Amino acid sequence: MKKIITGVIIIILAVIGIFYFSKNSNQPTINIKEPIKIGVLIPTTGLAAAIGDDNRQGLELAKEYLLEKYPDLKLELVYEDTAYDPKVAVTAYFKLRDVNKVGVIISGGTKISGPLRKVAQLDNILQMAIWSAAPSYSEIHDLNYRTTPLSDDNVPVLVDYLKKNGYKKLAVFYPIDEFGITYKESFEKLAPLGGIEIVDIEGYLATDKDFRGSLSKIKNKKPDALFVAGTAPQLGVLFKQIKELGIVVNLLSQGAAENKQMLDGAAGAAEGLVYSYYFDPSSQYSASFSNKYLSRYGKVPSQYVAEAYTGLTLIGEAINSCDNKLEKNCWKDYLDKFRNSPTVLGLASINERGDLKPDKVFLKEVKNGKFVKLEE
Amino acid sequence: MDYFIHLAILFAIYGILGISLNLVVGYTGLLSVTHAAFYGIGAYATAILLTSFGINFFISVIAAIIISAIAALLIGLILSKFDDDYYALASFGFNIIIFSVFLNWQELTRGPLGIPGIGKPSFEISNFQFPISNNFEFLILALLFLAVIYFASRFIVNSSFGRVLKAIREDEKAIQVFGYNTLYYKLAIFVISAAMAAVAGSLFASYITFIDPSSFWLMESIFILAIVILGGLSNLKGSLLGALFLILLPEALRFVGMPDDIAAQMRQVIYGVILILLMLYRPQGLTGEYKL
Repeated sequence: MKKIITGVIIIILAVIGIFYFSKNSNQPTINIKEPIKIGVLIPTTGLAAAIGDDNRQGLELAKEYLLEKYPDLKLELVYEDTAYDPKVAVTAYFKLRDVNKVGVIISGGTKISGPLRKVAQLDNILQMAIWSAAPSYSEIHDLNYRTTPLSDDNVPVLVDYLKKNGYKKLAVFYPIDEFGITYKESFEKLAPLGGIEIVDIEGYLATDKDFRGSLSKIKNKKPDALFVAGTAPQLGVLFKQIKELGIVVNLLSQGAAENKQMLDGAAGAAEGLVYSYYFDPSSQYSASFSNKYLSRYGKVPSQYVAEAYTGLTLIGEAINSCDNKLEKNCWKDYLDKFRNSPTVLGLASINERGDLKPDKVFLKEVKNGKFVKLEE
Repeated sequence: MDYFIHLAILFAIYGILGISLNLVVGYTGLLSVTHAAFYGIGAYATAILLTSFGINFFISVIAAIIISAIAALLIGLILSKFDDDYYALASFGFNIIIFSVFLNWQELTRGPLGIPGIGKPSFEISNFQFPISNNFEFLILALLFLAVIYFASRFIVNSSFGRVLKAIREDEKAIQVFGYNTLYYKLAIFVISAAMAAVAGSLFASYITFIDPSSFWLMESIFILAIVILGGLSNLKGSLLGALFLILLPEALRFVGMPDDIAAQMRQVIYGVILILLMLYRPQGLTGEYKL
């Protein structure tokens, strides 16, 4: 018995040791042409895996674009799954830092980017957050940046829409996490300024599948419009249940709604949905990127693809501007001075908090089962 | 190498959790799925005391133990009305209730926003101060706590108290006939186990420096139960082995060369297959005395 136990322990340690040392022995100890490694912490399993897939597609396209534009640029992407769990993300981060020796990380998701910011800051590692909308991420700015507009950038457009169309009573249904709370708080702050009364606010857990109880409460408050935040699979189920309960309201949401998974889950119940969006795939800045993506994947890129593409492109441009050297202060200087420059998200600037402010946030709708720009 | 020190710290924390749950599940035969709740109570107690009141880490651990023990006493009294599968279901319910408190009592816990900026431990005696300033020092501290809890648990299970626990597991009615108040023993070990889990929670909060309710969801209780079952019921060393195995296996799989776009998914599949094989060929766990 003791031999079995000892053997199991030895095998596990040996596996780790063999792979670790074999990877290190293949790398030259000193090589000025060694690629700069960028750790990518995105969910490739779990509830947010579909977003992680989009991110990967955007990152690979960005890498191709950068290597084509700057042949001397040496970049290597090292992917690690976070399963959208902060604990898993922190472990993966340590592995990227200590074993892969990354100089930069790209982190996906509000729940991941926030906790990682603290450790990355201590380690002086540049962090580019994508689809991370929590304001707290950029409370302290040093080497942390992000490409996601905040809820305060999205909500005014939705409130304007409600005001112009004469909607007076709004209900908010949000996921009880940092992402959902920022939207709830934005509406609480901005809706009254637009003359809109918030008649009900309900929250739900990420793991919930049946929302009928809370939706019934909302129905009783008789809102004109209902804003729902969440991931695509959740939104699909939600919209279907809203229709089943006979809740007749103008449906509002945010960018995550633009996803075929949402449409499939909603089974027609999302028709007429209006949502905020910040990526225009047909603009002069994104057309080439969108065409390349379309020819490769057969679909229009989502904002998650665009954000990942933008994030890596910014990093690549910063590294190139610093002669391909691992000089973070130089990269920071480049990024902090990024103003009114073209990105696939439009003409954008990085503000004093390290947040990329896109050209504009606009509205789209679901019309005849398709995602189209809302006609004004 | 901080990565390996990080894994070692996780091993220490989950080792404490595994040992403490083994006292209840393995030695007493009570299938409890509440452990993540007590782990969370410990973590939140330390987080709140450190961030809001600036209290020393070690004082916060004592407070966490007391709060967790009181919660366990109340929950244990209710759970004592149930047997077998109903006990497991009821404990499941309590885990959900405690999780909901973490998530919704936003004035205290900040809800889903979590509590960031939790400080590191610091030894303070009179004018002498020794802060834990790096992960290696934290590892030493975590291993010390693990050692204390391991030896305390070993003392418990080797004592007459421990023998009564095993007798309750084997045949509660029979031991009652001999005049033993089994409710007292079950409650006592449940409270002791919860207190130990709170220590693990305090360590976790201080190490990760950020906690939110998602770390103490039901799946965490099931993970801790898996450590106990895999390592071996009614064997303290087995809990350590189970923790080591379940912490190291997913990390070892990170180094297995697979295409990036399927690596994470394949790791989960391989992980699951290994666990199934282990349970097929060692249903009593790596070092267990009996099967669940």
